[in-house]
Amino acid sequence: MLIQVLQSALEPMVLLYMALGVAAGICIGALPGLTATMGVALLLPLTFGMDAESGILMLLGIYVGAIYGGSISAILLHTPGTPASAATAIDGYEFSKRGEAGRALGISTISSYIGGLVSVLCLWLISPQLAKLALKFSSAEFFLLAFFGLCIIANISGKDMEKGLICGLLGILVATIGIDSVTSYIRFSHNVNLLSGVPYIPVMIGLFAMSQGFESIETIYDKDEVNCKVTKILPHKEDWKVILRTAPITGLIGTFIGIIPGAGADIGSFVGYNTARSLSKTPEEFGKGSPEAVAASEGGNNGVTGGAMIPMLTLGVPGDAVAAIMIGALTIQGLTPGPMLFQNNKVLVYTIFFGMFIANTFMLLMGLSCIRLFTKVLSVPKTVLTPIIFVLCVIGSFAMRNNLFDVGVMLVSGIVGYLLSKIKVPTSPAILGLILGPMAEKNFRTALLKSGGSVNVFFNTPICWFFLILIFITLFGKHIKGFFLSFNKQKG
Amino acid sequence: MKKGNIVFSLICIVLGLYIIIVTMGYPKAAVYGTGVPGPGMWPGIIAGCLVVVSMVLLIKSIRMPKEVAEKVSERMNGSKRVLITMIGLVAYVALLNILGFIISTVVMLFAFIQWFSRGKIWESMLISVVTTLFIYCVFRFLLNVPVNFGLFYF
Repeated sequence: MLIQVLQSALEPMVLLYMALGVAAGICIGALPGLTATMGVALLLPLTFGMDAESGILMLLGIYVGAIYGGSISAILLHTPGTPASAATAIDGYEFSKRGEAGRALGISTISSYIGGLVSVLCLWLISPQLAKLALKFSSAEFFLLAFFGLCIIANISGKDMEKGLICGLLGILVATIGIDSVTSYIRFSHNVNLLSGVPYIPVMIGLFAMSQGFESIETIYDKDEVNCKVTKILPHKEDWKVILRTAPITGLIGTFIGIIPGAGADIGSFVGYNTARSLSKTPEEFGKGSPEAVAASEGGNNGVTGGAMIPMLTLGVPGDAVAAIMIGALTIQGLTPGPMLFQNNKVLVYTIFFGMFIANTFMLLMGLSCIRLFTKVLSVPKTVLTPIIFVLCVIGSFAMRNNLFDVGVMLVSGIVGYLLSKIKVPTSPAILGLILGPMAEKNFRTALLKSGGSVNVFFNTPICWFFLILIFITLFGKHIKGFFLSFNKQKG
Repeated sequence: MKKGNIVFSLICIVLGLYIIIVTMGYPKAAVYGTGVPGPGMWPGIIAGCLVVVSMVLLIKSIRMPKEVAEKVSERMNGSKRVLITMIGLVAYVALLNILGFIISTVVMLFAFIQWFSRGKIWESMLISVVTTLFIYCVFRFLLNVPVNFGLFYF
């Protein structure tokens, strides 16, 4: 199998697509306003005509590249290219002010690579074991897993918990439109285009790419200019020590955050940053241009890339919004993410693992050799780029089913996504709901069908109890912690 | 934000209630005789949750302190621009089926680029035509997407 994997991952066309993906990803990530999710959603239609390996690896290249690319504008402009680099902007820009932009970009490139490598390693080690375990899952366990994923929406929505929950619930409801998979009853709409459900790739393109296009229209005349020269990219000895001490740890943290459904690279980056600060001997340097801080946040966000793929490939549960789009990409290729993928398409799965390693290496090489070229991307005017993004959204959503109805779905989703962002409603929970909703419903009803209507089926196995405890902690963990804190205070 | 939250939660409450009413009309479990919930139960429960969470948001939003009126005119201009863009895009999507991809896209791109950049007309035209033809060729010939709709089949 090893030879087969090497053959398919090292095929010239696959390597070319991957390199193009990484380069495109870095450019997309570097441009403020264009996120990794948007890049993957926008370029997903290009993979429709490709074979599974090339398509998935190109998308992974875009993902890896974009998460890293976000640091370029974060360091040079103090504007994170993607939300994942928000933490990098804090310290990265301080380097630019001191005229050391090249040094910060070098630290960011190497740390991103290390973070990415750690996550690929975890992906390689954890996924097959998790898939083996998931093979033992019955409908009841899959229902509880999906339900757990849905419960997490509440936790990741932060301050606006209600809004995140509402958005997730709306996503689940949208997913119920069309023919019910258990009874074949048509729900909510008899429109022939909706019988098989609302097509979720146009919804994603709308929510993540079109709505961002609208947002950039608001600030279309804002100009970002790079004011400092990029020199001496290779880190010096002291920086190497810092990178090697920090990036592997935050990469690991990022990986585990990536595994949590719904938690993306932005969270990975901030948690990495905060952990590194608490472990640091010089925490007072954080915020003032500390190499440790840049290494921590970049290791953290690129660590998420592999982590997010773990639940997606093994359980069919997306680790973040990009992984949700990947599920769409795999489905289009006729593949169903989940434990069976490891049984039926072993070569593809390991090609993805190996391909991610190559994508990270491309990112490192391009980052170190072509960084000045990528900074030029920052001068592309938004006035031209935004209308082109609109065209790509339109043709991309059309390309999936060659159906103009899908273009309408995309446009409506884009407008709704924009309006929601205006009142600070996070849109990622909708995608989580859209993907996990049907999985939860189908398995819930199948489990009941098998048990003859008895709910005991959800309490029968240790795995069920494991998920039930996780669900309980997810939903009530904060309250329990709060209760104990107030109890201790009273006692004190 | 306060106003937006209130409107959003009210819309969600109405939507949730509507879905509950619709799903109550769906066949019940007994019809299928398997003991498994009917097609209306799941959306019904979710809609119920939607109503409850929206009500919480509504109450929280009503309790929010009054907002200071915003004076930012640039933001207003930005929102106006977005609204006009949305209308333009809806018209573009409607025209796609009539005029086909190439003509409608060139027109849309030219109009937007010229409006946003206020540059030379021939420059905007050149960018629009070249970009449209490039995207058309990639999707039509490289990816085999049949972008040949509309009156002129291109």
